[in-house]
Amino acid sequence: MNARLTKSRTALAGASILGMLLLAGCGDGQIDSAEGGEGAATGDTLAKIKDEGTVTVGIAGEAPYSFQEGGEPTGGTIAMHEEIFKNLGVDNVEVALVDWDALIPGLNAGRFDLVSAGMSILPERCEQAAFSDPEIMYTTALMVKEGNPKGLTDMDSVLKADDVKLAVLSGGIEAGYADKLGIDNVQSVGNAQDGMDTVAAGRADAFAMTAISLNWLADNNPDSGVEVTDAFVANIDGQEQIGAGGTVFRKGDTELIDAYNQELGKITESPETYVDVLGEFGFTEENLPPKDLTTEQLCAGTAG
Amino acid sequence: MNELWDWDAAYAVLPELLLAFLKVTLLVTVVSTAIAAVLGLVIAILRMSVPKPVAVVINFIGDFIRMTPIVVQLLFAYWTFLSVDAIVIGIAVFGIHYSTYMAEVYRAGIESVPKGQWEATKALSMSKSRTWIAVIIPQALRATVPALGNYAISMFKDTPFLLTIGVVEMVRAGLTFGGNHFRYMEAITLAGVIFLLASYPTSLLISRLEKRLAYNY
Repeated sequence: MNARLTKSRTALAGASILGMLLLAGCGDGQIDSAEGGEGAATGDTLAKIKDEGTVTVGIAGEAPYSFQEGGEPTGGTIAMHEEIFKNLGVDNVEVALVDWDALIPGLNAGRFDLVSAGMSILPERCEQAAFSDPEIMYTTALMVKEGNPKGLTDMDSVLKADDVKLAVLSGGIEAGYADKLGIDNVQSVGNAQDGMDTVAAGRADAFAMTAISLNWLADNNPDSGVEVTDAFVANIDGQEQIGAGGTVFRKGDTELIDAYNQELGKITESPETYVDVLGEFGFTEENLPPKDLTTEQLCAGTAG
Repeated sequence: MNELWDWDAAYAVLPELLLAFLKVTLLVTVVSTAIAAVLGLVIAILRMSVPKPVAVVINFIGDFIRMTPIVVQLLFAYWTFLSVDAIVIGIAVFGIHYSTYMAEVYRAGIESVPKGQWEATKALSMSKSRTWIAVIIPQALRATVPALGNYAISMFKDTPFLLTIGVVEMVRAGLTFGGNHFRYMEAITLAGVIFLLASYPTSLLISRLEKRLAYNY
């Protein structure tokens, strides 16, 4: 009896180990096939989307770049991508809404064909994915109480003023500026809306963020009692902090990137064509990247 | 890139976590524990020495603070006292919140002092303050130190709630790193390990203290 029990236990253990191995085997198989699928897509994404007539773009729902309104995708980079892909013979732009942090991982996992979010071209991101030519110049601005009671104009004015509390987006580029400039009276906030509320309620005197986002927020919340200063280029240790955003592709999708950049060039060709496509969402000719700024410079961190 | 654990990322995030640990997590824990320990004792003594109706009010306030979540209290104070720094709000809310728990611990400690001690102070016609300071509190504290230590550990583990009011404590520092480098696994795991490495030896210390302080009636 005892021996039999032991035997059946051994058999059970054996079966479960076998089961685990099988599961592991299946898992491997799935990963392989997924990689295979991705591999097949790489380089062929252009042919695929032309074939299907649909391109799927990943967005994080950030106004005014790419967001949904009444279930319909809209925003500056969406308008740009609709224009570009129409010219490439792809009429349908669909969106996949994910968290900001999941944009590049989702792209590399093949969940969508590109990222349409005006993502800043940064060296660490260039290691993970490929960027289009620069599309949007990012300048900084300050959101302050109406009438700008503390007379703030840029980061230096915040540093020099006594008793000014500066709100920054947690992990945002402005948080790095404040840190490097030695501004220590800082309140970090979780998102842009929080930042506006923080200034409106008087918890902070200014909220530093991308001018485009701040202007959009202020324009869409006319009763919030805040205003946005003129945009400026942050200056750290005499170095102008040039920032630009672009569209993100999988590395290896070179055909798609080349075709895309060519069409993009028609939009960034002149201020008129640029504002024509993006102006509706608050983008101005100030956001048009200069012709001599390249993605390579931005990826290497040598712009500016 | 998609591997589960990347040592380079772990090395990169560790200094940031340790800095946030020293500058925020530890600071809040130590200062708030001190506030909670003192304020808790004050509340416990007040409750036993004021007239009944006042004690009822104090009880109600204590219950109210204990029965509402600390996150709600943090956010409430954050948006009410606008001119106060978020970190100061955090320290005050943690201190006051935990003082209500500690008051209960002190109450149990005070009640555990044998009745004879009270009677003895009366027989010696000691003043009220002398009774508390020289006789009751020293005996009550012996019984309460372990429980107070456990609440300090509990508070320590609650400090990540500070991220709701924009204080860059250890977990927020880790999340920020994760967002910038697309690596969350290392940051969150290491934050957890730092919490464990700090709280586990402390709890061992407290249980040793408990044995040493135990009364042998």
